[in-house]
Amino acid sequence: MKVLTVEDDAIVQHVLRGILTAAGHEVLPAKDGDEALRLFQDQPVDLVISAWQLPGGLDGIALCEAMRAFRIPRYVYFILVTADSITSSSYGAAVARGVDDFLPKPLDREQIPARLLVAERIIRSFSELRQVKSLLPICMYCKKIRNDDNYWSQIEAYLAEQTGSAFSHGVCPSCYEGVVLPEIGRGGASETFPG
Amino acid sequence: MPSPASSFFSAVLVVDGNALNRRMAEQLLLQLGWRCGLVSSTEEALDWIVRDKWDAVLVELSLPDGSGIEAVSRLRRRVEEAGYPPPRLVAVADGGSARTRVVCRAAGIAAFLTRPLTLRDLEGALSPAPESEAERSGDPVLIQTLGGLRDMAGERFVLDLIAILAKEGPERLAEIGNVLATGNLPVAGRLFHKMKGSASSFGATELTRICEVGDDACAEGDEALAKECRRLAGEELGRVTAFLARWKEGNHA
Repeated sequence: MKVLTVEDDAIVQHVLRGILTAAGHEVLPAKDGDEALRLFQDQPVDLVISAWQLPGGLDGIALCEAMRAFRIPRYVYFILVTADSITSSSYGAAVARGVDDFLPKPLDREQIPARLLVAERIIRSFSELRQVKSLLPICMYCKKIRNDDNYWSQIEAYLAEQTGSAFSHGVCPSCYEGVVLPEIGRGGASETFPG
Repeated sequence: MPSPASSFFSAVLVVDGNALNRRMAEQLLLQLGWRCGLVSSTEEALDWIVRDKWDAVLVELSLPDGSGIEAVSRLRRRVEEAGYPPPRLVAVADGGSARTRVVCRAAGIAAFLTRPLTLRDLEGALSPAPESEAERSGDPVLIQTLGGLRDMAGERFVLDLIAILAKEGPERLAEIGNVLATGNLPVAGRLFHKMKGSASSFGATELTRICEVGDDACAEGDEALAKECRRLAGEELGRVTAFLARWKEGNHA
């Protein structure tokens, strides 16, 4: 993953880089919120790890809000690095403003790669869901959907496979009028059992 | 078996309000081959401290007649007045917050021990060498962190970290000093907080502790303690830097 690390402390920035690089991630370092926003606009970042306190006008939470405001077509996972003195109400406020996870200081070199695995899983699920929601090839007559293997399946089978959704079959009012009632009318005549 | 170093210490004055704790300290000191005096209060200690020439004083932080830190400064004055050489001061407590440890260090207490006492801890704390074995070998958390970072990201990475610290550390301290001189405690607190974060990220526990207390002192408006923390942070950074230089040589060797 491409990880944007936002931290003005050169030592913490270096340690973060070491941990992330060793875990196979690409690191994009930024010293403050403004630089982070510039990099964020220029490059496709998957994940952001930011200090809570930052020099300049943007702190970590304001940076998260600013990034969320871009409404880009992929999910960017945002982790805030916190001090031990943070209260639970601050955590709640940070989550409400778009933060996904927190990393406590001192940075734990075992914990960070594990947290990033979770982030990767969530990002992947989001992108799969997005694929489902994006443009789907559909037959204009029978409404079957073409999947990645060039196989045409019923829309409910396709969605069940992609999203795990289950379907309860009902009848909408117009189909009831146009299809069901005529069927009942037709069936009524034949519903005579041999005596 | 007493080690060769313990022969330097002929006498240790134990100041503790609890009879059982005094006896346990005595047993350990005798095993190390040291002679000791046992007293239960500050007042008694003030009397005993000039009866003999004590090489070290082992003082409990919560004494029946006041705090151990206060007792230490009174004992030190009494020794100075008597013209005796200053004894090595060692504090003992059941636990101890970061603040207590830093305040002890600021009061000139050379070592801080938590119960249960062990022979090894006592011997290390009472050692008269300017740099004890523990100090030479470094903070175990620091050693473990450096080793872990080296195994994970390579030696070059750790050497770069040491170089960054050597450059950034003194600059940060100077900045804290300048801000404290202007009396701007909120900004000084933020700087202490930042330095605490960097110290903790490479496992320098004592420096982390001092910066944490400095941060709290700034928040509470305790300028004197904040300045003391700035001084102690300088001392500790020097120690860490010296250790890192040795670590670097050892890893290159």
